[in-house]
Amino acid sequence: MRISKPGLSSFLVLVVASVFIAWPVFSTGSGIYYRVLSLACLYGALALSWNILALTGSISLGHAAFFGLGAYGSALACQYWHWSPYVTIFLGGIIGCLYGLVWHLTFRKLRGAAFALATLASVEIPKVTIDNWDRVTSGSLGLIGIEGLPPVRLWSLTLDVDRNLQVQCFFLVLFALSVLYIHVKAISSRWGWAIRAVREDETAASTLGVDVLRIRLQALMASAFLTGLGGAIYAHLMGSVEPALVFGLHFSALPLVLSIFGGRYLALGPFLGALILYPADQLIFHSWLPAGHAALYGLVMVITILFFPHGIGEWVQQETKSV
Amino acid sequence: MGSARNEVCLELQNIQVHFEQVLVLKDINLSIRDNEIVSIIGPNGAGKSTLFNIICGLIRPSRGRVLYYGQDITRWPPHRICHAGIGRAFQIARPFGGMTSLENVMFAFCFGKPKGGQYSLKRKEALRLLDLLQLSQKADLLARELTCSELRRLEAARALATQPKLLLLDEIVAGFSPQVIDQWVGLLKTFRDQGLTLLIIDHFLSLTAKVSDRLIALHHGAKITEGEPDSVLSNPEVISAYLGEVRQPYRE
Repeated sequence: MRISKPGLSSFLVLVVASVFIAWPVFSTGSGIYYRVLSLACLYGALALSWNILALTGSISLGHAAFFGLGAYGSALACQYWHWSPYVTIFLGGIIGCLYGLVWHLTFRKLRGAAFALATLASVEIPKVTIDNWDRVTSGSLGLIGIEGLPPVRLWSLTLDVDRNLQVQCFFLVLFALSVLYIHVKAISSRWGWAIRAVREDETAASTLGVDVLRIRLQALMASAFLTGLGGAIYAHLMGSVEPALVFGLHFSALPLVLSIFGGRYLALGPFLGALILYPADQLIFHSWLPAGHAALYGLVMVITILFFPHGIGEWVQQETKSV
Repeated sequence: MGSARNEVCLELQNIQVHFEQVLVLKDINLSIRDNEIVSIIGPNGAGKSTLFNIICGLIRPSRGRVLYYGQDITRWPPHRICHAGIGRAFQIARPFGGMTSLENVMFAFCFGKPKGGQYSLKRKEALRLLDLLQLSQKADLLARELTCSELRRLEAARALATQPKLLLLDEIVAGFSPQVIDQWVGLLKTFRDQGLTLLIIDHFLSLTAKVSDRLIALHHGAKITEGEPDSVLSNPEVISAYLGEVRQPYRE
């Protein structure tokens, strides 16, 4: 497993992305494609964020904690203090980040399965708290009528992020690309090298001069912040959140599935996974199997682990190299 | 460098280590002068590698201090100790298996000092080190594909790439042929000529007797003796530690 430069997998992403961008041009008036691409980008961003931590070797099963805290933090700040959603989504990210700091302080000695289980359990703390703090969070009923993202004025142009699906899609593509940039840095910069050394052998890395604790903290902070940001954006896009949903296993497991499917060690892998799997789920499987379409993710996971252990991106790269 | 020769490079004061209730090292005192080659010998389980782990910060002693050029480094984290100039080659090689040999060495160049710079600039220096350790043929091979003897040399190359002043070598020649050991004798002398101080662990005594200025013998976590190689190796306590108790012949 060599870390590869964004070569062929970036080409693949480009193809998949251009298919989705070109699609509505030919089938006009189909807002569903923008909707699907928007959410694919959001999930892509979540997968990339999750993978920034996973690159250090720590597999998290609890990113829903950051996602849910980001979503609730932003929605509540918006509701009580009437701040602009563009401010509160960053607050959501910071709250996620703070919970990440709690992880660092309590779990920093844990590795492997122990770390994964601890993170899985840690989701319950914010979930149960928000579920029962009725006076502030309206408990398990959740929050409804969360303010959408207000229109942005650019000179004479007014971009209605909340209602215009094209603009919304553009906004989320932008978000995903920003996360992608950080993810690329986490693979192919000096920081990326340190992360990789920590993943391969922590003891060796530390005796060769890498501050292992700091690298792990930085990766966790970045991962938690970006996931919190994603949660906050989700809350304002959907207009409603409830504890069982935003702290659900779905948001912990999906980034993992998308990353492993796309290729965890490729700069574009997790994003590629999201761009292929989420639309496939929504556009193909959802119409076939309205009730059980989510089973796709389970099936894909099994097939990926059995046949493409390094993800689809790496597989495509190897196939084309040998031709 | 007459005055520098007598400067104390590393000093351990009353080092004591417990794992759970077991006393692994008791009251170890030793000091190593600048540019000296010192070997620590002793049978398996004597606490040699534990001593190395303490020096490079992987284990905190329960008691005692580690001084490096007079500075107390006992509670420093490993990366800071590396930056200060102590390099270590592990007994069981710990390569970054997914990187090539060259990348492994470039990595150490890049991170071994606080402002190591970009790894792409370190290629030439890394190749020179691989050449010194006769690994240049293997530069582009993944580290996990190297043989055991190559891995040991890669360990040494990586430790050297952190540009240390004190180099800790743990069982660098264990199990190797006399020819390989002779090569290492030459290498160690080169290192010393370049100004390095060397602390070596050698269980089988194959290397140490040839190059060391001094030997320190450990047994059951305690220092039995130290001094010139010949006098240490002829010490009855050292002999009995290696060969077992010398008993009186049975008589009726």
